[in-house]
Amino acid sequence: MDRSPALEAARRVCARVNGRGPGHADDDAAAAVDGVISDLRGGLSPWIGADAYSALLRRSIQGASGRHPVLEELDWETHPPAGTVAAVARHGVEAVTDACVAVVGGMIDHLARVVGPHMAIQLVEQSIPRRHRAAAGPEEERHA
Amino acid sequence: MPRKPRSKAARAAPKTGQKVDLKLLATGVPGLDQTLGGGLPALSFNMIAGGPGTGKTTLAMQMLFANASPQRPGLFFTLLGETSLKMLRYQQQLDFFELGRIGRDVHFRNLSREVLDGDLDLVLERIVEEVERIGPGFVVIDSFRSMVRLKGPADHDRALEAFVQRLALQLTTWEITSFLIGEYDDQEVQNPIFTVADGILWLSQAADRNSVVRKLQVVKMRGIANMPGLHTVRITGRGIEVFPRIPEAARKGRPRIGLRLSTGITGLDAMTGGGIPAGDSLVLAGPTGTGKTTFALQFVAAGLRNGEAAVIAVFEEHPAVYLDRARAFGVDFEGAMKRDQIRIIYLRPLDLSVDETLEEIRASVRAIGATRLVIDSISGFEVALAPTFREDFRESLYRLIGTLTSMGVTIFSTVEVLEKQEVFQLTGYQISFLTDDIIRQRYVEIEGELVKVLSIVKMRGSEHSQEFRTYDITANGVLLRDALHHYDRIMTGMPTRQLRPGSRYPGLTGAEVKVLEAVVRSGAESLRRIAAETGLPAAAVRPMLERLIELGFVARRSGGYVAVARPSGG
Repeated sequence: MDRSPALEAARRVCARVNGRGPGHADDDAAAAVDGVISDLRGGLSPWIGADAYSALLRRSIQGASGRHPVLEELDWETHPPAGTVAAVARHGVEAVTDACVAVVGGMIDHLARVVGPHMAIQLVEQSIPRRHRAAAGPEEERHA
Repeated sequence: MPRKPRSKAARAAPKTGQKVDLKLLATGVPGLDQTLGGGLPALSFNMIAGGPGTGKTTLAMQMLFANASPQRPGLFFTLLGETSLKMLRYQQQLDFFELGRIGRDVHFRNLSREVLDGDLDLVLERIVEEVERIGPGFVVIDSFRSMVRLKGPADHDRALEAFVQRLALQLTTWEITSFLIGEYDDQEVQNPIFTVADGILWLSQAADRNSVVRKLQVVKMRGIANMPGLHTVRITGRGIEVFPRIPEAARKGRPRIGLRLSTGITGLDAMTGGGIPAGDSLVLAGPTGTGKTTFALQFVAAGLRNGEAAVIAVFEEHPAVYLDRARAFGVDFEGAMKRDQIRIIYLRPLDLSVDETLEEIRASVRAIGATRLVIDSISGFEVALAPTFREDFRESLYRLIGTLTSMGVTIFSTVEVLEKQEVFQLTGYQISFLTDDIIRQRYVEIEGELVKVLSIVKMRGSEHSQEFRTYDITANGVLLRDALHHYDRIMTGMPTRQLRPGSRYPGLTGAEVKVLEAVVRSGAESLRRIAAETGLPAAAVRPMLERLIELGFVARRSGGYVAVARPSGG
């Protein structure tokens, strides 16, 4: 497993998707993915501007879609992206979670090249409400 | 006696205690609080104007970080211009930008999309929305002018005025101290938009050859008396620093306490009438190679021996060279530096301002309680200044020396004089008027040899020697030798020898002759008795006796001094 700080942070951010155990409906997982992307947009756009956010997201999707084909099945023009329920049903929760982590990790990476890793992780993590980050455990607390 | 009834107006007027307390905030920008007149009035609505690259954003950001707290965060809006990402990228390089505070007590909001839509009402609405949500105590809007440019020149100013008016009202009612940043040219200071602001800080920069000088002017600041004029600004990794023009209060008269400081050179104290008056500014002027730095070092060394602290501002030689020279004279400058008894300030950036230099010297003088200051040299100092400051160098030097002497420090400055052989300038800089004391060195030709000569040109309010004395720079420092009593036209550099009767003791000063004659008259005498007989202070007599011993006129015997028999005609 890749242990880069960006991906570690992305996993914490996507914890609410990953954190769903067996017995949860696929719809819940899809909603969690939607929630992560919505929170990111709502949290990051005011800081860096809506256009910068869109550009970062686009680059991250382009970079990750080769390894995560599920990303191409989502409609990223809408907020939140359309098609998550179908994607979860087709590829499974794990594949969608991994794709979500890859996109968020890519965003952190791109952002880090401009503002540095510390601030990039800080900006992304603070976009996610604390209650959704709690599942990430002690690692999250270090960055809070 | 019945008191006169107070007028209606007087009764209606609030008592002093009822007046609103104008709390002043620390800006966190070194020198700015002093420039503003004590700090930034809380709840004021201010503007920072100036051209690109003058440091507007950095100045605002630094103040925001200084005033933000978790209870009353700082909120920074970016409209158009520098993008948020770029701003976060570059501003975090500065020391005050603490990453850990981002998102906690410092928040950024980007409203570029709203501005690009061209809807000023929406922009205002979004600002108010964020202010209500975050509850900041300090707000910056960068840059407020760019958005109105989008609307075109027709309703440009009117729209902006209305926007700023409404914004000011909103921010004031929310009890917020705020700054709007706008790009304006120097000619636009009369723009009506500025009438709304409580305070205006105007930044400018000017490039002159290879130097860039940034300046700040407090155009207005309601409620407090700010310092007028242009103040130098420097941007470094620490952020912005303002170097206020020397405050009037600091330039008021200096105490004259009657104390004299030794020059550290045997015989020179006697020539000056007992040493340099404490708190004076002395200039040692001479051509290259006459030992100006050695004189300065001995002045510092004399202070060290007396337990005094000293600051040396070096504009030419590297401090390491100074330390080497001092070591050769047996003076432990390095040890004194370790004890913080000496500070050497090395300044050679070629874009200095006088105020910046002054601030650095003042801080060092205060820090170690220095009583002696060496400026070596004024010529090097001028070269280190940005060209724009060289234009009024004399005036600046006047302010610098006035401020430093008012702190009680005694200044020993050196200045290099480029002289023609037949001309004797006092200092070459036309700065004689601003110094209390002047010692002038020069070369003269005597019997085919180049000889160094010095004379005391001026010792304000003090008797001093009128002689020309030859001297050498030896391994142990300056050694004063004979006075040129038998020469004329010394000031031309090519003296002519005149055989005239009179001096029985060639090479001695008048005071030294007086001391010697007292010794001859009285036989073996103590220092105290000789001092009493000559009417000179014992402290002044002692070095004269030392010199008389050195020259073979006097010897020590049984705790006193006796004249040594010398062949006649010497």
